[in-house]
Amino acid sequence: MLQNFLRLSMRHLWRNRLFTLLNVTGLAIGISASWIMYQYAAYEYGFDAGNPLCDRIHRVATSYEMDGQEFGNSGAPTAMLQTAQTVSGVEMAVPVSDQFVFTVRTGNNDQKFEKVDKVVHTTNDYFKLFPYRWLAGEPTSALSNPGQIVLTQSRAERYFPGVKMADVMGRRLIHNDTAELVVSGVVADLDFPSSMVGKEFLVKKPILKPDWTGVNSGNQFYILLAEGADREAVAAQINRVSYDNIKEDLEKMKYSRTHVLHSLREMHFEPKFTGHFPTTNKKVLYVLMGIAGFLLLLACINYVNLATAQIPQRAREIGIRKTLGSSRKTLLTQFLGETALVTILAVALSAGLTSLFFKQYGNLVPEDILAYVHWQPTAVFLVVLVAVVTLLAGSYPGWLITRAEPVRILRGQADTLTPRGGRVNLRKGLIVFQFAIAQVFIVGAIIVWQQLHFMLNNDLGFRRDAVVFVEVPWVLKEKPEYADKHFVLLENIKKLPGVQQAALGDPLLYLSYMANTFYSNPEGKEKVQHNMLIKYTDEELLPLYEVPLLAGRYLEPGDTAKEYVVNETAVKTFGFANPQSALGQILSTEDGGAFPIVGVVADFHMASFSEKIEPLALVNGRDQLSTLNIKMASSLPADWQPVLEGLEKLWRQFYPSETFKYTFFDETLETIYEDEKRMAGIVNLATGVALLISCLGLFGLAMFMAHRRTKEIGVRKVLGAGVFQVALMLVRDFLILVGIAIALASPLAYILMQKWLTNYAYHVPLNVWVLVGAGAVAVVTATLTVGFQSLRAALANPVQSLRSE
Amino acid sequence: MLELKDIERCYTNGSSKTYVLRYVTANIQEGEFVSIMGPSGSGKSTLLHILGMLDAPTAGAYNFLGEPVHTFNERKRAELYQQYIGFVFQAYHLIDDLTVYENLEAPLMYKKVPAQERKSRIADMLDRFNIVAKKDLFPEQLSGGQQQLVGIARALIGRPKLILADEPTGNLQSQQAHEIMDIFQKLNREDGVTIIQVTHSEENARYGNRILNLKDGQLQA
Repeated sequence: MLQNFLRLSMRHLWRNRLFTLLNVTGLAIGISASWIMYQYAAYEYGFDAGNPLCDRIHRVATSYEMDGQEFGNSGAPTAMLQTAQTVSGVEMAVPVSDQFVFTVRTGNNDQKFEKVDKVVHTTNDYFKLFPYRWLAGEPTSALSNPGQIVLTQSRAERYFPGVKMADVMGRRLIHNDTAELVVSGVVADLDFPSSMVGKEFLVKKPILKPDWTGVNSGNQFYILLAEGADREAVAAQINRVSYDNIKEDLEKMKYSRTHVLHSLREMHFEPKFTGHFPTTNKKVLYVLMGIAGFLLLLACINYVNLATAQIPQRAREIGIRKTLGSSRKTLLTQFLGETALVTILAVALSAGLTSLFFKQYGNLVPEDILAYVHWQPTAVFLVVLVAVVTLLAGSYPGWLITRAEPVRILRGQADTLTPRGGRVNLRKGLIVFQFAIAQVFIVGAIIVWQQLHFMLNNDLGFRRDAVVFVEVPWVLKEKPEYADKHFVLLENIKKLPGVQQAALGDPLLYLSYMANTFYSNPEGKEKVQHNMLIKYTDEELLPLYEVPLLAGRYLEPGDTAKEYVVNETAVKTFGFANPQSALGQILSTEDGGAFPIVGVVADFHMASFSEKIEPLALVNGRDQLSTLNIKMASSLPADWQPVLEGLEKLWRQFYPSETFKYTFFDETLETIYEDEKRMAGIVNLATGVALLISCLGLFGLAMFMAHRRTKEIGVRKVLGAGVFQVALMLVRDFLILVGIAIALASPLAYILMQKWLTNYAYHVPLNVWVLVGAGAVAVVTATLTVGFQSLRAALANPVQSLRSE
Repeated sequence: MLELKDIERCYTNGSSKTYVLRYVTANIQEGEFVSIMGPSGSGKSTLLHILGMLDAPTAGAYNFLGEPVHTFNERKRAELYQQYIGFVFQAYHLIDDLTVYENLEAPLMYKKVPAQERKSRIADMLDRFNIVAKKDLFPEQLSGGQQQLVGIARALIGRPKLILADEPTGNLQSQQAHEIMDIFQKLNREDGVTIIQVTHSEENARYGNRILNLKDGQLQA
């Protein structure tokens, strides 16, 4: 029976190859979107799901509130460990600290590895919380003495290639040329995605002076709640102790601080609490799921449209089958079976499309997404997907088929089978729906692109062209013999041909910055207190970037703070009437410094365009200067190569042990907007796909219409209609639908994108022309799709079409 | 076997009613070979469709084997098509996607005839109509006469008690038409199958033993 069914269905599909191709391709694209999204979601939701304790292990993080703004920090004060251990409901508390190691040397053959990350300091208890499989060593004692180190298999293989895991035990490693370590254990890498990214584990030194004030995301604490323990109660206990210890500070500085518990699985979805581990924004995940869902829906709609359009052609067969004694159920089952077959073919095709996606667009998804694929759940997902798609796509046409009245069909009135009910019918509605979605996608793609373009190219408030950064190696900077080297280097760089200017200081657009609380206490006025960002620069940085001066002057040379240049926002924040009147005002800090404002510069962007410009003070600070900002004399990239070569030559004289690395300002911008670029990439792809699917469906429908109206076209031509008129008649019917779709979708797209733009403190204006432009794209695409078929139908010789009847 | 009483079939077009059939009363006994004749548009096909339950009368009563047809649901009708009725059409109406063999097999599948028996019945049928060599061909590869032979074979394969034929020879040349009519007559005489055919041709009607004349939707005495 099944064999029979398969043979007949395959034959039917083969006989209608073009439509099979359109159906399979459309569905395959939609299914691929869902498949990729499934893979993505499985990866994100799989974070630490493989840890049996994942719902009991919690990270103690810190949340601040200041001036109505909230900040998150994934770390906690060092005193947390002791306190957490004594709180009731906590079974275990484990400190986890990050370290970035500059050099790792292997004991014997003296191999050197540079800039090693994912090194973690912790205790033996760590391995009780996290289920590592031990390949060598003893979990209970591997981190008992300072000088011990536990490696994951991947690191062991990197440091000691070809050595058996058991033999890695006892090998020596030297960190930063000073700390001697002996391998005391090797564990397998976790076989599920995890927030615990550590690859090497060292002994955490006991905290000598536990402190309640400082919070650093590098110092994290994990607790294991006792079974059945109430986590809110635990958090409350912790917060009580924490508050008691910093009460005075909080009151004086006017901010509040609370500790929050995130379970191991929750912490992956807390992007506000960042650190050196991946986090995800659930909202973004939902948006992506929505996009995938819509693409699948579009593909199903295509199938419905093409299948219902095909019914008149199949009606005769259906009628005959009914007279042969076929029941409705049999017909429906047969049709759904055929749909399932098409869907399975589509899944097969999308297996190829999906892997093509991961090859071509791998940068749109997390890089290790394919490292943890489990085939069993994926197979279950695909089976469910086939079932859902089959029902979604096959139910309506199947229902129509069973409604077929043989007498009409046998009399040759097959056309009456398609849904009646005048000018509005479901198929038209579906086309409108498809193009409405496509319109939303197109508008989205345009706006996202505009915003990205705006952020990458808009005036930041300073000149950034042809500026190159070079980081001074700060590990060397700490050493006395290197303390002044970068200043000498700077002087040498200034003399290089092709260099217009060079300065030391925090680049203006730079994500990490310092902040402090400043007071202004002018005579006869109330004391004003505000948080202000600080950038350390030398006297040449502001002129190099040509930041416009509104009042006063730039900084004068100096080794330490003695005066401030502030931005316009700072002037407003502290309540000075205008830049001129801010000059000479004294700003003081908690630690006693009090210096005058000597200059006011125009506002410029220090962070991405999603952030508002904050009050800022620029200040001298010789010790803090560690970035070389070099401005090229020529604006032609072709001229920069010799300058870069000259820089590298100088660098080798000054820092022979370090590799020379440079970054152009524009590259920094690109990294800042990586998320946006990824989003733009995804939206562009989704838009292309949505348009493609919609056009596949339209193409098929246009072909049917042209076919169905062959006779009408013949008659019209005999009556004297021109080719163009006939083609226009066919195209017009579709364009009306596309027009309705545009009209319906545009307001929705407008509202959605307006909402998206509010994520950015500075954004492009939402222009109505974007909607018009997007509509034009849809209309042109639809016209091209339908036009070909229409023209072909219109060019057909009427003698043939009229004779055939 | 079939009883028609005051059958009426009309189409409403706006406020005007067009009667296709009116005051049609007839009884057809088992074993009869009835020809329905009449000019174009007299309602012949509609009457046949009503007899075959493909169309429903707008008024009147129709009993099939003593049961009122209007009480039949879709499933009951499908069952009757499987057990009792075979259709033959002027345009043959073979399923294009199926080979001759598969076309013959389709009604047996719906009847849930076991595979072994299907095979032997189809073999018999192919033999009887001399189309063994064509069994793997598709309808489009056959001549009109051959297609109609397959159509009749398909109608007979379910061993129906009643054959409804709508101008079965309308598209055929006279030589083939004779052959087909001979088959019908043989079926009627030797196997006792009741046959009702719609036809234009006096000659074809003579093969049967009774003629119903229709004019403007009414039976003529």
